[in-house]
Amino acid sequence: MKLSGVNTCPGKERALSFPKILFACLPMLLLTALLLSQGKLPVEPIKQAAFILTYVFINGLFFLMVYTGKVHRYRSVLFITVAVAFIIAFGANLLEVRGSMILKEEDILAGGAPFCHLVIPAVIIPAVFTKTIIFPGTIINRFASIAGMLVLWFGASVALGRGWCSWVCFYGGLDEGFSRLCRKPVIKNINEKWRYLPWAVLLVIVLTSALTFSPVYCEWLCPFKTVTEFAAVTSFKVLVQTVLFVTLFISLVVVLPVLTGRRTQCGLFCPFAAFQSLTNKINIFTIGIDREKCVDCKQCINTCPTFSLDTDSVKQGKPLLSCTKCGQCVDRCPRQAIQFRLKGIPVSMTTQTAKMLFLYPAFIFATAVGGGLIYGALLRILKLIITGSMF
Amino acid sequence: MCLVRRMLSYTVALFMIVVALATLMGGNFFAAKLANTTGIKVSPWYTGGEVVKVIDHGGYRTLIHRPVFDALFGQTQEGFVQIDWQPLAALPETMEEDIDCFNSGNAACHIRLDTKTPTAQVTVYNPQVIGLEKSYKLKDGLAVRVLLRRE
Repeated sequence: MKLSGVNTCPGKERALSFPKILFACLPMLLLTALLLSQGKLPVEPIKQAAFILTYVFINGLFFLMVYTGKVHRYRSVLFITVAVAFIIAFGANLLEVRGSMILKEEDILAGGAPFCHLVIPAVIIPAVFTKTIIFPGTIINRFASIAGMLVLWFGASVALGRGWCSWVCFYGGLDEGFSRLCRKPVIKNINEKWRYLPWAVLLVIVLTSALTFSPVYCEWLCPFKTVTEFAAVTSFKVLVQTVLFVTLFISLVVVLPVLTGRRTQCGLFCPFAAFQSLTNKINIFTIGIDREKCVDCKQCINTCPTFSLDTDSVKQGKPLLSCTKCGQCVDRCPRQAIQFRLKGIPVSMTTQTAKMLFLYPAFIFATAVGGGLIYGALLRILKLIITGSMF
Repeated sequence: MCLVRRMLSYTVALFMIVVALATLMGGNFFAAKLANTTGIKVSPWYTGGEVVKVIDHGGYRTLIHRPVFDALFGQTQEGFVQIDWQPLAALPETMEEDIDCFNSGNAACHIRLDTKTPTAQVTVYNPQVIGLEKSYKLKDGLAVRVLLRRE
């Protein structure tokens, strides 16, 4: 690799010198050690191996992000890995605790369903009016408890806004992964009106959940039920629900991302994504487009995975409300006209400091949520290789 | 003014690192605070609602929950009452019991429960009782939900 001041690719120049890069990585080295170990280093050799692999992998990605300036490229590697690790770690955990990935009725009565952020928009109205959460989980002191997840979501929303969807969400990496399988998208032109679909789904989900007093999205529309926990097919209703889950997963998370090269579940369907867009209003971090440098090549518009840029927004020098701060447009822009910036500071006066200030909280959340999942998945895989069993 | 705005922006951005660390390091503390201050609970449609009566049979207990008719505004026309029997190991093979579903001092139905399968039959005494919804196996006991209609 080349050192500071030397071009790493045409049109791109790294702003930080090598000692500065190392200095910038130092806090993350310490924080990731703390977050991954929870203040207690593993003793068993197999756990130590999983810990070291996770630690090196995460910090390696952060170093590369800072060193090359390519945020999206290495974030994407982490994001996809986290999604795959989530399926392995979560599935193995369910098999160990429950003996299957099936959510039984007795688990529901016992509050045994892990709370997931996707249900948050649906539970707010009933929680405000009745002080009850319409989800069969546990309020505190349990894995993925309701209060624990609400605190995590609130903190991350304040710190990152809709950056949650590209840094913290453990599902998003799936459609991002599939969207990267095809270099040249088959479907290029998607009507801009589809961008409003998540808002429509959000409205329907919030109203029907409040009226029926049940989490309608979880019960009928969540594509990720296909790869996490699901109800045993014991009735026609459950059969219809299962068919819907699988159909939505195959179409929105697998097929359409491959055909369009975009995150179609996140950009065109997910009601939580629409809801989370609102948090961009209060968040300090955003993306800025320097109109003086921009040549209207539209590469950013064509590459944005969540349809958060259009001709008008580029002209205005800012993305739409739905921007997930993934950094793909920043990486892609041939003129370096797009940058991470802070609200209140014009893009022309933006420095690398703004990007670093965003990267720290984003990476802290990514490590805290994703790091544990990668460690958990690696541990299961290592156990499987060494002992022949994941448990 | 421009300088003040810039300084303010950088300060807020720096504070976001503190927010991230506080959220993660103090997650359990904030979760407990949130639960205590708001008093939020899981919907009784899942938990069965609060237990209002416990009947001790010596080896095992019968727990009768409150009738659940909870809705966003007011109450639903139809609801249920949940009855639990625990611990599982101490339950006889067949149980028969009159249940006071409305905690009114009068039995509203009679439940016959085969603890091995577990299957239940409900005999209705009170017209507000619609019938059996379902029987469930819990971690350390059995539960039956009886469908009710509101007066």
